[in-house]
Amino acid sequence: MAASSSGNRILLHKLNELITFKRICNITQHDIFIRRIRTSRSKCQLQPKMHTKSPPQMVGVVGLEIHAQIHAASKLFSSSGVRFSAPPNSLVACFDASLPGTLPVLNRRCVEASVMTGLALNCTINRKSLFDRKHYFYADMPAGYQITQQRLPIAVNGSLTYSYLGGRKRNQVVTKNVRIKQIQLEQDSGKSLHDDHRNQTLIDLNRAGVGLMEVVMEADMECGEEAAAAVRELQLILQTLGTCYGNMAEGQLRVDANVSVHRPGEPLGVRTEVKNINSARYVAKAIDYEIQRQMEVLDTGGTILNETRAFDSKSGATVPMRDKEGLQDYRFMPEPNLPPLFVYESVASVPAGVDPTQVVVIDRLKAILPELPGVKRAQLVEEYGLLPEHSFTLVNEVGLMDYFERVIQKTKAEPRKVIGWVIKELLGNLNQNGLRLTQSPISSEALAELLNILESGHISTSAAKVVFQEMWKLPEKSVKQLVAELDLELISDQEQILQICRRVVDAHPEEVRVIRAGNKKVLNKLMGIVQKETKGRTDPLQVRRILEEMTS
Amino acid sequence: GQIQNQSCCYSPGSKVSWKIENSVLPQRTKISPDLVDKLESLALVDFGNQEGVNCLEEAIRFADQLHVVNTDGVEPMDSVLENSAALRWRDDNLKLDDCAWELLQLATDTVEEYFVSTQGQSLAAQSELPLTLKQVSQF
Repeated sequence: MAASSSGNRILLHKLNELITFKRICNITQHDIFIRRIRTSRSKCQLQPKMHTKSPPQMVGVVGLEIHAQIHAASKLFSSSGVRFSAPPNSLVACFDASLPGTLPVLNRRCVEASVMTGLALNCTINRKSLFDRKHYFYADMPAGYQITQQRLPIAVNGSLTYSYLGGRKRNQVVTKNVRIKQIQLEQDSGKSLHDDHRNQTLIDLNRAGVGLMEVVMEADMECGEEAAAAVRELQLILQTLGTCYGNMAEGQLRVDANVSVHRPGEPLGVRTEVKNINSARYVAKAIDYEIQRQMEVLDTGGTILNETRAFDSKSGATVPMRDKEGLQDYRFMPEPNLPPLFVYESVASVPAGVDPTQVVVIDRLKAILPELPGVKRAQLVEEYGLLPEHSFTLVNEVGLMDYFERVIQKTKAEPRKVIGWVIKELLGNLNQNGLRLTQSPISSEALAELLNILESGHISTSAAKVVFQEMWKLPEKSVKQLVAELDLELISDQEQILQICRRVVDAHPEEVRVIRAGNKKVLNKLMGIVQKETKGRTDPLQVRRILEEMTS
Repeated sequence: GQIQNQSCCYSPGSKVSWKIENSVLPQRTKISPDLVDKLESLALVDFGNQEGVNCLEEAIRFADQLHVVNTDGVEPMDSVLENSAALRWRDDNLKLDDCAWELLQLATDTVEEYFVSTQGQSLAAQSELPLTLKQVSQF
């Protein structure tokens, strides 16, 4: 022990040297090493111990800016197409390339999508909203400005309720709320590829001009887990609405996080912006890393720079992006080519002379809003008597709810039993093997069949689990076939069971004596022996009854 | 301030001018060399000579005259169409044309159907990776 602690001291000393050196050079990769020897403090699960003398623990403060690509056939202001992997520069209209003389023409579908999203997030829809230009120079934005909604966006002041599985065993549903500051319509930029060999940048404008909804979430979150859960819930809502497919790998949903730390009650700390978070998995990782990094910088007496950092998925760290000296000045100005955008409350409020079929009416959109995930979860609990954490998992995993309902339809088994099989056995095995539900070797019909055989008493529960594993390996064989092949049918012959029990009892006189003396727990041992002898083909309740009689 | 000559409509041929006393205007804005640099990089405009700076300062001076006007309770107008449903939109229909192909032909430099960005404007987004520990230990 002494050796390792002195080893730790030397390690710490060396790291302290590095910290000083690196602070001078403003490099932060040492943070990765520190993480390994200190326990993470930023996870929301750990409750800080409050001593009245020492100052309260620092907590993270996280806000999100999420860009969701609107699912539409054409772009926001032009009629060129929207597709992920198309040949470079094949989906470009003259307006997207910013040719002089071209003008923006708003896509009605994009307005409807943003209003629906605003309604689903409990926002106030602004009857009048405005478009602005945000100026900055970048090769993938030919116009030199982006059309956005800075002054008056389409929707404001909403809220998102999200949940995650917390608690020590991660089986308690923790529900939180985050305020939505606003939702605004804006253009996406093109894509740039840096060719370092020839020192040039290649530009693909397919994505330039695609409609985006920027959802701004206030800094109501405390850690990576909460942020990831909020993003997941938003993703589910957008997918349910059909306004965005939310595929992060294809860039349809992009998350930027604003992270700072402070002690509760004190003013907010300096925040950094974390970009380049490319998947749902990395949302929590990137944010937690950044919170940890900031806490450590402050602990060692440093200061946080208001900067933009990129998440490097390989190292799991955030690194400073190439400097933007000073604050960017975007020189916002009203978009002169677009008059204000009006949406109307109801058909009645559409002014005379305006064709009601040519306007966006909020009531009409409210009427066609589909059932949102939160409602679905509550319904599952009510209809099937499921536990909240189970309905949470059902809605959270793609396609699982449909699978579950299909099994329920085809089986007599109780929903509570079915859910156990769907979550523990099916989902558990899928996760272990890294498979998606669509790749499941066991169809909902097959599982229903298995459960029916179990319900009818032909096999025991433990036997069913064995069959399940065999079904996994041999999906082409029917359940009945497998049960027969594995010889797992419950022994129905009473005589046979009695004989086996008698044999076991006779072979273990010592155990019988202990049971008769009062230690009933030893009965389990005898039961286990019987089960082994019969290869699990006996009903445990029946065996227990018989053994109890025999040992009384 | 006194606005001389109330008839403020300009018609060709008539000489109209007004003069506002300097005393009612805010202090004259001087453009510092740092600000010149910043503006040049933000707007990609080359004006960093005395003539250019003078021109900018005069333009600001001209705009300063607006401070004399009382705008309490008045929202600035940015479009004469601010209250009318003038915004026309289109349905979400795909328009197939050869525009993309034509645009590629217009470019002087392309590499496998990508446009090539000129070197000067290549504001690389690549992050500067910090030194690895190995490199640090070599110090």
